[in-house]
Amino acid sequence: MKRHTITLLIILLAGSLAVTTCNKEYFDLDKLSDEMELRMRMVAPVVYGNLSMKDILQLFDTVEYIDTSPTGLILFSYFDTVLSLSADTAIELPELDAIEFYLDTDNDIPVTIPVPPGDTFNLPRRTKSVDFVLSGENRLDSILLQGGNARLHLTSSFRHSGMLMISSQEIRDRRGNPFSETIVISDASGSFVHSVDVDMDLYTIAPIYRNDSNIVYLDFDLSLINSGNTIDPGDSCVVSATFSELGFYNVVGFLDPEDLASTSGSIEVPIWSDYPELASLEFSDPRFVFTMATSVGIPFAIDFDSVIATGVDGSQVELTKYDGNTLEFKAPGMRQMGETVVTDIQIDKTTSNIQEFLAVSPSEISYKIEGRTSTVDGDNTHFILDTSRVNLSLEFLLPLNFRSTGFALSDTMEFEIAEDGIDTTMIDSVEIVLTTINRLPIELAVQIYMLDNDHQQIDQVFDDHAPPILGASVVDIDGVTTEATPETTRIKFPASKIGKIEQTAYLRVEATLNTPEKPVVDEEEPFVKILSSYDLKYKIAVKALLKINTREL
Amino acid sequence: MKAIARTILTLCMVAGSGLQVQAQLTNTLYFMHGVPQSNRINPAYQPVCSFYLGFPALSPLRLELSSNPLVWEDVIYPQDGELITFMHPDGDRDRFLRQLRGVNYVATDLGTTLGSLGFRTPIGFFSLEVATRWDGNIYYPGDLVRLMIKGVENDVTYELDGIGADLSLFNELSLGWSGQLMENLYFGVRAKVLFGMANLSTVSSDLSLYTSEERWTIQSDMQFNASLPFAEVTYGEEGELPDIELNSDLENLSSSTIPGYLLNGQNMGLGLDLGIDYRPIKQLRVSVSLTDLGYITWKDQVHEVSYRTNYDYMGLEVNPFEFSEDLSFGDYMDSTLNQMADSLQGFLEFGESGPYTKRLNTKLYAGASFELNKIISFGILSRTDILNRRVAEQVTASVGFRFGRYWNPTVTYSYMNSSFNNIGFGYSFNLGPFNSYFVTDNLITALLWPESTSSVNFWFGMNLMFGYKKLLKGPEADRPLVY
Repeated sequence: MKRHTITLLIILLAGSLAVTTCNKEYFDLDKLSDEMELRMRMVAPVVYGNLSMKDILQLFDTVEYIDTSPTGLILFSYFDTVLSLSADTAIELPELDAIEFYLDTDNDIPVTIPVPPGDTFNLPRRTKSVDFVLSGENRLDSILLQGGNARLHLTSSFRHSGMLMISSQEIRDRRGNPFSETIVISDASGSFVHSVDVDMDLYTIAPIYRNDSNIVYLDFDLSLINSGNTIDPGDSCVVSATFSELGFYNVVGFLDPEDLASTSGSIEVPIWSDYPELASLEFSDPRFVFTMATSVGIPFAIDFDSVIATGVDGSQVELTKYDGNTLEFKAPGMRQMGETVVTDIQIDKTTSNIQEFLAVSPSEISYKIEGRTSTVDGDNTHFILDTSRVNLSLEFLLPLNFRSTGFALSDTMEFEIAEDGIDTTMIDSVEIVLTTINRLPIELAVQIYMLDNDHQQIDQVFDDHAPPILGASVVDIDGVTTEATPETTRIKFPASKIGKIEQTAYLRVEATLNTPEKPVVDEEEPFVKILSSYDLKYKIAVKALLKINTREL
Repeated sequence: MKAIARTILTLCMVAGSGLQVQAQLTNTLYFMHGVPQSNRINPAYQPVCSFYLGFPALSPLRLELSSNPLVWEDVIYPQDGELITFMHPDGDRDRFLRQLRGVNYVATDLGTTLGSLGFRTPIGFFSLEVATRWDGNIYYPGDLVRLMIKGVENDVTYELDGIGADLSLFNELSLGWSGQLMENLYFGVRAKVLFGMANLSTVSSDLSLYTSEERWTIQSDMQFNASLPFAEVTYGEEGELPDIELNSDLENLSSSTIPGYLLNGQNMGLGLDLGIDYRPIKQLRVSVSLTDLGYITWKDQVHEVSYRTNYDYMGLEVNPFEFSEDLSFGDYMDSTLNQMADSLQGFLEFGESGPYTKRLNTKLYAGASFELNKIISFGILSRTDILNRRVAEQVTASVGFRFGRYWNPTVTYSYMNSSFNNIGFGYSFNLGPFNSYFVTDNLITALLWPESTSSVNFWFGMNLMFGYKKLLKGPEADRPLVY
C-alpha cells in the first residue's frame, strides 16, 4: 500500500512539474511588455440649436434695422424723420396793436365842447384796421383764441369826464357777441389814466380777407360830459388796444405756412459699408417710403430735389422719379378735424431708377426736400388745431427678396485651439458630423484653409469639389420655401491633417452663399424671399478615434 | 481610514447586481465522509468517531477565489518571445472581449471556524460549530469592459445591467444532529443562527447606455442596500456623497464591545440544513441534502443608495450669436457640462432605509458513490445552487483511493462555473487522534494549467478525533475516514 502511495505521489508531482514548466512562459513576468495601447472610439453629440432668422440676420446688421412685413417677409429698414412739426411751430399768431388819438391838433385856440355843461357830447366813431400778418400767403377765416390778453389803455388830459367804448365785429366772444369794452373816464382833472385787461380765451377772431390781408377792425366811441372847461391845445385822449400772447384752439382758412418742410438729412446704410460683398445681391423690390402722418388740415406737397446714394467707393447716383419729384400728401378735411391722416408714398423700381441707385451699394443716402401747401385737390379751406402735428419720415426699405450667384465672404482669423495646445498624437482621426435642416433658400459652401505663421497654406479642410455644407430649401414660384432641405456633411480629419493643426496659426474661411439655381436653362435666377418663420436647425456630432500608447506618453 | 471606507462605499454604490455567485463548499468534500466537517454538506453524515474537536480557526479554514469567465491567459499571454497583455498594440482585444459574458464576476469566499466539535450519543451524532464567513462578489458587465476598451461606438446600446456587488460578513452558530432512522438510512438536520456584521446588497441593477451621433441615453434603475453597523454615515444636504466615519470604539475594542459586533442581534438570521444518507446495498451510497435554507434580516444601520434616471443627452443647445467677450463658448461649455454633471449626480440618492432581508443561497446536493473494490471507489455528485434569478448546476465525478488507515486521497473532476477545467483532490491524514485534511476542487488544474484556471478553492482542517477505534470494529472498519 505504501508503495502505491509513493508511486501516486511521484506521478502527481512529476506531472505537475512538467506541465507547469511548459506553461512557465505565461508567468515569466520579466518578459512582460509594459507597452499598452488604447484605441478608443468616441461618438457623441456635441451641440445643437435652431437659428432663427433674427439670429442669422445679426450676422449682417443690428436688430434695430430689421423689420417684418405683414406677410412675414423680413426687410431691412433704414429710417429717418424728415419733419416733425407741432401746431405752434406751424403758425404763430402775431400781436395786434392799435392806437387812437383824440383832439391832438395843432390849433392854438382852446375848443369848447358844443353842448351845454352837464350834457354828453358823443364824438364821431373812429375805426382802426389791424392786419393779421402771418408768414406765407394765408387767408384766415377764423381763429378760436386760446388764452391771450387784450390790454386797453386810456390816457386823457381832457378836463372832462366821459367814457370810451372799444368794439370789434371781427372779434366775438363765445356767445357770438362782438367784442366790446368800455372805459369810464371818471376824473375830469385832466390827468386820467386807466388800463383794462381782457382775457381773450375762447374769443373768436374772424378777419376780413381783403387785398391779400387779413384785417380786423376796431371801433372807438368816445363820449365826453361837458364840465364847462375847454379843451386846450395839447390836451389829448390816447387809447391803445394791444392783443398779445395769442394762442389758438384752431385756425381755419387758407394756410400756406412758409418754410414748413424745407429740410435735408441723410440715412446711414451700414449693411453695405460693413459688408461690401453684399453688392452681389440683386434685390427684387427695394423702395423708399415717404410717410406723412398729419392732423394738420393742410395738404402738403413735398418736392425732393436731390436724393443721392453715395457708395463705399465714393461714387454717387441721384434718385430720379419718373413722373416728377413732387409727392402729394393728404390731410384731414374739415370733417376730419382732430383726426390724423397717414399717407405712404413709395418710390420703387416701377416709379424710379432705384435699381441703378442701389447699384453703388450705398453706405449713405442723403436727401434734400422742400414742402409746401398742396393745391391739387382744390380745397382752399384748411385748419390747424392746437393739437395738430405733422410728421414726415423717409424709410429706405430693403425686403429680403433677392437673388445671388456669387455672394462670397472671406475672413482670416487667428487659430489657437487651446492655451497649451493639444496633443494631436493621441488623436488618430476625427470626423465632425454636421446635420442641418435648412428652411432658408440659400445654399452655403465653405472652404477653410489652414495657414501657417507666414500665412502660407498648409492644408484645407474640405476637398476642392466638396458639396455645399448647407443645401438651399425648395422654393415655389414666388420664392417662398415650400420644403426644408436636410443635409448631412461629414468633415473628416485624418491623422495626416490633424498633425497639421499644431502648425496652424490662422484659418482663412471662404464662404459662398447662393440662392437656388434657375430651374430652366436660359431663365433668370429666381428671386427668393426670406421670411421670419425660416430657421436653420443644426446638430454637430463628433466621431473620433483615439490612440494612446503608453510608450508615447 | 475614513477615505478607505468612503472609497469602498462609493465603489459599492456604483456596483450592483441581481446575479448571485454561489458560495463555495468544495464538492470534493462530499466524497470524504470521514472528515468530520463533511456534514456541512450533508448533515446526515456521521463522522466515524465518538467525539471530535476542531482546531480553532483551522476546522476548517477555507478560501475560494474565482473569476468568471476571465482567466490569466485572457489577459496576459506570450507572443513573439515576450509576454504581452491584451492591451498591447499586438494584443487581441477582440478575443479578450469575446471571452466576456453579459455579466462577469470576481468572487472571494473566506471562512474560518472558531470552534467545532461533535459527539456521539445514543440518539445520534451532534455537532456544534461557530464560524465566521466572508462572501464577496463583484459583478461587472461585459459591455462595461467593452466601453472602456473600445470606447463609445455609434448606435450601440451598452447593457450594463448587473453591475454591482454583494458583500457579506457574518457569523454562523450551528447545531447539527444526525440519526439513524433505519438500518440503512440516516437523517440529519442542522439549525443555524446567523449574526450579520456587515453587508452590501444589490437590490436592483438595471443600467443601460445608448450612444449615437444623435443622442446618448442613460436609463437606470439601481438600488443598493447596506448595513454598516461599524460606521457612522452622515448625509449631505445636497445629495453629495455621504461622509462615513468608522466607529471610534473599533480602535479600542474591548470585551464589552466585541460581542456587539460579532453577535449583532439586530442583523440576525436563521438557517437550516437537511439531509439523508441511504445505503441500499453495501457498495452503494446515495444521499441528498438541502443546505442553507434561511435568511438574514439586516436592521442595524441600514442605508440605501439608489440611482434612477432616464436621461437623454442630445448635445449642448447652443446659439452661437449669444456668445460675447463676457461669455465665451468655452465658458458656456464649462457651465453647461457642470450643470449636466450636477443633474446626473442629482439622480443619485442616499438615505437611511428600513430593514431588508437577504436569502441564503440554498443548495441541493444529490450524489452517489460506489465502491468498486477495497481500494477504489467512484462517486458522482450533482449540486444545484438556487440563486435569486437562476439556478447554477455543478457536476463532480470522483475516484477515491484507500491506502490504509493513514492517508486516503480522492481525485475529482468537475464542471463548475461554466468551466470543465477543474481537477481537484482531497486527502485525509490520520495520526492517532490527530486528523488533518485538505480538499480542493481545482487546485490540480491551477497547478497544471494556471493560465486557464478560473477558480481556486480549498478547505484545510485539523481535528482531534476520539473513539474511532471502537467504530473500526463495525461496518466502517475498512474505511474510517474516507468513504
